[in-house]
Formats: sequence, C-alpha cells, structure tokens
Amino acid sequence: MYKNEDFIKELLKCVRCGKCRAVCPEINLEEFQEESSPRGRIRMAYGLITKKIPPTQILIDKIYSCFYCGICQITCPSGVMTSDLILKTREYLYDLGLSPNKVNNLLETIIKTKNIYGLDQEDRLDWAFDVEDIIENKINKKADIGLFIGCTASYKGSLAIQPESIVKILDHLNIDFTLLGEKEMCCGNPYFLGGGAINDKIREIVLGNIENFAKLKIKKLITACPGCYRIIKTIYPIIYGKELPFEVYHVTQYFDDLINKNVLKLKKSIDLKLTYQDPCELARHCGIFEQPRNIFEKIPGLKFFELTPNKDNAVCCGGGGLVKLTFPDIVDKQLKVKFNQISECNDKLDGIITACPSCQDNLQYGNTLLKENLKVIDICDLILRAIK
Amino acid sequence: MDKDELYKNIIKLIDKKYVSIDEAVLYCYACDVSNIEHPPDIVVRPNSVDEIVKIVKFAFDNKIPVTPRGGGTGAAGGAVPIKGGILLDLTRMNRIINIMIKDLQVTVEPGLVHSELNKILEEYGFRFPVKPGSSEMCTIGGMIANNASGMNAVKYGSTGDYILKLEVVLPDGSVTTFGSHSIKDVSGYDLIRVFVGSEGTLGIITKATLKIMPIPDVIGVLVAVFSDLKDAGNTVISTFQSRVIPSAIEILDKSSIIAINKYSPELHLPLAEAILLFEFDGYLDCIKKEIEIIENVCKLNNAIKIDKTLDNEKRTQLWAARSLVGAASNMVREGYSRVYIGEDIAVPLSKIPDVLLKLRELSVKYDFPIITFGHISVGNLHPAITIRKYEPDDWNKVMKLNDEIHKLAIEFQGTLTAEHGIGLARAKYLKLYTPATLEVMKYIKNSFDPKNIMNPGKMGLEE
Repeated sequence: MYKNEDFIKELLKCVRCGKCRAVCPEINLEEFQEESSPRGRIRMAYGLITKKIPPTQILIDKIYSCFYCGICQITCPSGVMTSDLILKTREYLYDLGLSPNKVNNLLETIIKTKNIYGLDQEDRLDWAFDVEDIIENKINKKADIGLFIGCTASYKGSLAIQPESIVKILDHLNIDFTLLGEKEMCCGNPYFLGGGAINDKIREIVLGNIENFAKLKIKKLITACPGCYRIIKTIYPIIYGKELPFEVYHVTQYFDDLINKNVLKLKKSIDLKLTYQDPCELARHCGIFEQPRNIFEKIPGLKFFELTPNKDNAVCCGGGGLVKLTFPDIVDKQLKVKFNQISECNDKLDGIITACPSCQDNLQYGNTLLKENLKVIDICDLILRAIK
Repeated sequence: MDKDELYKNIIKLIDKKYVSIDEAVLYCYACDVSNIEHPPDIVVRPNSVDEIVKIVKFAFDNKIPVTPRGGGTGAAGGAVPIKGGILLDLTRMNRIINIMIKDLQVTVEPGLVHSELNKILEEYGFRFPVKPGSSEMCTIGGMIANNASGMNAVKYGSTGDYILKLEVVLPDGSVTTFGSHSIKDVSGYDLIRVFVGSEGTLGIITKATLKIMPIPDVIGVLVAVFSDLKDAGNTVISTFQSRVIPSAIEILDKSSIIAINKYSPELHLPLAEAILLFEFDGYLDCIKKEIEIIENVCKLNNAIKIDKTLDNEKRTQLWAARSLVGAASNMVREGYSRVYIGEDIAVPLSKIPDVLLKLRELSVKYDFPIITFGHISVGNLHPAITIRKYEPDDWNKVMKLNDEIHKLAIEFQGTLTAEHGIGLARAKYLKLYTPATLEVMKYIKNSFDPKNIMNPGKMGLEE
C-alpha cells in the first residue's frame, strides 16, 4: 500500500516496452486495444493520479476488468508491480466513489455481514453436512491446526467437497484441528481486490480472524483458498503490526509436507489422465507451483499432463480480480480460451484438477457456458480418493 | 474540425466500436517508449484496406493529420500523433494472407506481431530472420516503417532487406503496390526502400510480402570476458578478419555487468571491463569450426575467460545476462529509471572502445547511471540512461546529455540511430548533422504527401 507520491514513482518505473501487452490475456479478448493492456492501464492510472485525465467510464471499466492474474507483473523487465498498481488504482477510484456499484455493494456486504454473499454467518457451516460428526467437537476448540474455509467454499454447495475432503483427510490421519465456524469472517481478499483500503472496518474483521485463531492457540493455519492464503500470508501481518501468532499454509503445501514425512500415504490407484490449472493467486502471486505437482506424482495410477503454457505462464481461467462480478462477458470469453487450451492438452484427458474454489467454480460454470463436460476435480478430493 | 464532429464523421466510415474520443483512451495512445507525448484527437482501429482508404480519403479532403501505429514499441516518438488528428491503430489487421514456402515468402498484414509470424513459420521450418528485442510486441508494419533490426543484423541484415512487395495507401487514399513476388527486382526505382524507414510519413503500409529464411539447424554460443575494452573491440574486428560471420555479437560493458550483478547476483558475472557474447547458427560441423576459430581469436586478444556451448539450456543461461540488461538498468540507483534518450547510436567498429569510454565520462559528468550494451557486431550501442523521472531538473539535464551523445556519434563518423528511427526524438539532429539528406527527404515527402497529412511533424521534415 503506497502513499500517492510513492504510487506515482512506481507508475513511472514503467518504460512502456509492452512486454506485458504480449502476455496479458485480456488484450487478446479486447482485440488489442491499448487501454486493455497492462501498459495502458498503468498509463491511465498515471494520468488519473496526476490529474492529466479525468476518470472516464472507459478508464474505470478497464481498471476493474483486470483478472489480477499477475502475468504482466512477473513478465515486466522493469520490475513494475503492475497488478498491484492496478489494485491501488481501484483503491483510488473507490475513494472517489467511482468504483462500479456491484463492487461497492460487495464491499459494503463484506463489512456488514462478514462474508461476500450477505448471508447469515450462522450458515457458514452448511458445507459440513456430511462431516458434522467429525467437526462437531472441533469448532472453536484448542488445537495445533486451524482450518480457514473461506466464503466461497463455505456457502457454495457445489464447492463443499473441498473443505469436506480436507476434514476427512485430517480425520483419517487422526490430526486434531479446529475451525471457527460461525466466527470465521471473510479473509478480506475480495475487499482489497475491489479497491478497499486498509481501514478500521476491515481491520476489525482481519484482527477478529487473527484473534479468534490466536485464542485457540493454533500453530498452523491451513486454507484451501489461494485468495485467502495470499491475503492472510501477506496482508494480515501488516494489519496485525507484527508476525502472526501462527504459520500460514495453503493446503497443497501442508499435504505435500505430510506426504514427504510419510504421514499421508497415497496408496489407492487413480487411473485417470488429468491436467492441472495453476490458480493465479497461488502460483504466480505466491510462487506455489511444485507442491501440487509433487502430490500428483505420488498418486498411483494418475497420468499427469501439463497444460501448455503452465506455472509462471499459466493461462488464467478468468475467475479472478472480481471480473466475474463486474464484467462477466469478459470472463465468458476467457473461459473459451481456457477450454481451448485444455482441449489441446491431450485428447484423452479425463479432467482437470484445481487447487482453488474460484477456479473450480469458474471452470464448472465454463462447462455450462460452453456445453462441455470437463471433469473439474478439487485437489483435496483427489487426495482423499487416493487414501480411501 | 472539433473532436465531436470528427467522431460523427468517422463513425460513418467504420463501426463506432472501433472509434474513440475518450480522454483516457486518447491518453493511452499519446505515447510510445520515448518521452514524447501528444494525444490524437481520435483513435480509429480499422480492420481492412477498404476502411483505411475511406478514413485516409476523409483525412485528405479535410486536411486532418493521420498517424499510423503498430505495437507502440517505437523509441523515438514515431507513432506519437504530435499534431493530433487521427491515430490509426493497425493491430487488428494481423492476418497472415499467404504462406509461400517454395517461393521463400509470406504475405502479411501490418498489425501482425513479429513473434506470432515466426511461431507460424516455425511449423514449416522457416522464419522471418530479423529479430528485434521487441519481437513479442512489435508489428511487421512498424518494423518496416522503422527498418527495424536486432541482434542478428550482422548476418541477417535489417527488415528492409526482406521486403519483396508492399501494398500502401497513399495520402490521397489511393492504393498502390510496389515490388513483386520475385526475390530479385530492379524494375524501376526501389520504391519499397523509400517506404522502408519512412516512419509513416509517406503513406500507410497495408500489406507486405516478406522474404523468409530456413531456421538454422543448430545454434551455438561463446562468451568471452575481457579486462580491457580495447581488447574486446579488437576481438570483433579480428572475428571478421578470421572469415567468420557469427549470427550475433553483443557487448556488455562494465556498467552493464555491474547492473546485472545487482539485479541478478546469482549469475556471478566477473567484474570485467567487457563481456562479448557470440552466437553462431548453421550446421553442427560448421558451428563447431566457427566456435573453435573464435575461441582462438578471443585468446589472441587477451580474453581472460571463455565459455561456450551448443546445448540449448546452457545457451539460455549464457544469454541470460544479455536479456536482463534492460531490467537491470532500473536497479542501479534507487529511484532512477530508464529513459529512451540517445539510446541507439552507431559508429564504425574500430571506434567502439573509445565511444564506450566517452559514455562513461558522460555518465560521471551528468551524474546519471548509463548502462551500455549493444550490437557491437554492427557498431550499434544502446546506452540506457537512467534518471529520476519525477525530477524536472533531471529532464533538463538529460536533454543536454542527449545532445552530447548524438554529437559524439557524429564525431566518431557514426549515425544518430541504427534501428530505432528518427521520429521526433532525433529530428533536430537530422537537420544539424545531415542537412543535405533532409532536403532530399523533404522533396520526396512533398511528392507523396503535398498536404502533409501523413504523420506530420516528424523526422525534421517541417523544419
């Protein structure tokens, strides 16, 4: 989070070479418009902040149509933190009251209801219908391991398989854990993606999450959502003002570690040909590429095929950056690109693995949109299948 | 004509989805890589020759400036609409029209990105061999308009060497073609060469037939480290005297080595006066022989360390340093970032060591980090000057440095620009140093474009 002066200096680092233009998924969707390129967005941000141009509707739309996939940022030869600067520009627009209404509503909802859907916090455990017996004595109990479920997997029935699988795996391994249940609040990621700045309201939510887990004396916090992971890992310590009282892991890191320690044994053969969608916030933004692949390698029978490109250069599914909320038509276009890429991977592919509820949700939606029948498999579900 | 009226007229000619007078959009199209800026009055994004013809005829009738633009990767303000008017973004016209492998040629539209063309040609075992650093972003039209080249110019020349046929829309809206599908063609004046490097001042390139070349079988690399700049310079001269033509010879001078070591310490580049990177391509036996010869040449010229490989992975590692220079230049001094000023001079090969030393002196004199690297095989240096862009004083100072660098190039019998073009950034130097050339250029410009609507204000043509 920069001050305005620092913000301008960061924007000025851009030498407009256009490397980002060559990799940005959106510029292809928008027929190469300069204003749809990361370079164009940085340029507009500079013009806006320095009052050289007004916040036109096109400018606002372009700043809010970025997937936050981060490929521009890791490609930039000048070290410009392009994606983060675009978020900072959203913050600027939000402060001016110029962000899209849908975004404003989301941010208000998060603050008001502590989740992204505006639903009752009491319903946060709806996902756990099938594992009630396992978790009933674990909610808000002291344990070494804390689970952060995240809003998407908590409330969206189609994604319940992810937290369910985690719980079943931990239960299978006799690893004690805890979760916050109704007390879990939005991690804050969508708030920041929408342009919300660190303020007292979001601080209260973030500190609430930290303190609730701290009271339970957890040593490790595990989350399956890359967005939650990124924010808890990188922004929470800033808001908390010191090191968090627990370590933060994405579930792929945690299970990979358990496999390496021979605690988690993957014995059951899964005779499927699968590929993997690198979630942008997990892979490019947090550098977690290898752990999921290590897991696939250990699953007997599984034939793994890489998408081309992958890892650092992976193609975003379109599910990030709140674009699904603001410009769903752009997400639809990106899903076509994604499904084409998947179809070129291997014609006998049985499905795609994800390690992100947003990717899973979006790819499942892609099936409906494109009348496809792609199996979308959550990585935790896959692990569970390999042990049971 | 005001913007609103212009808009009303243009959307009668082209779908309004591809026309914009939004201030933010105009601001995006107001610049290239250089520090030159001016917004157009309108951005128009045609998708066919017919649309271009309609727009240009309208502009001609109403005397409205038209500035064509490709990937916006120019470094001299060539595609900056300095007099406003219509900015023609040609990136939607990116089709490959015909691949004629047996005839060694391909016909493309101007908005096609260079690397995209080569991805397609690779399937046939061919390529368009000129390779600018901006290959992934720059368009074929822009390459022709600037006569772009790159690291392998020593063996493969510049874009202009590969143009067989051009279709252009002239300033009055008429469409004409120059050249043929014959690889050799001296039927009349070489009007293709008039358009090559004309930077959009004579008309709009709408189609180009390019000569293509087979992809070499193997690529080899040799890296040599020198403790004396003059030894590095002499090595290049000796290379050609040994009757070897590498596909590239690049130099990293001490400033680049320091910058790269700051940016990527894991590369552990030796803190030497200069590093030369050689690339060879062709059949294996031939390359092995060439590497052997050049290794001896380097040794005879006092190289203190030599590394070589035919392995692709190791080649990438050895070239890693070269690919990082641009990024590294921003890291040398906190708060200083690269400006494209005085960044493309070229001098005779024998003068390179002296020019490099002069650039070091200028860096000290102006107190700006200057990170120098370049295509030494053709005498082309890219001094990357870094300044505090937010400090007006730095901009004043760097403009004086700009004058000194170009003067230096001329004093050493060189040129203002080897591959980036004149645009507006170097226009004043063209008048200063080559006034006779400029007079002939004005005559040609006036013949093609008597109303001066095509990219006006560029190349010193109005001075």
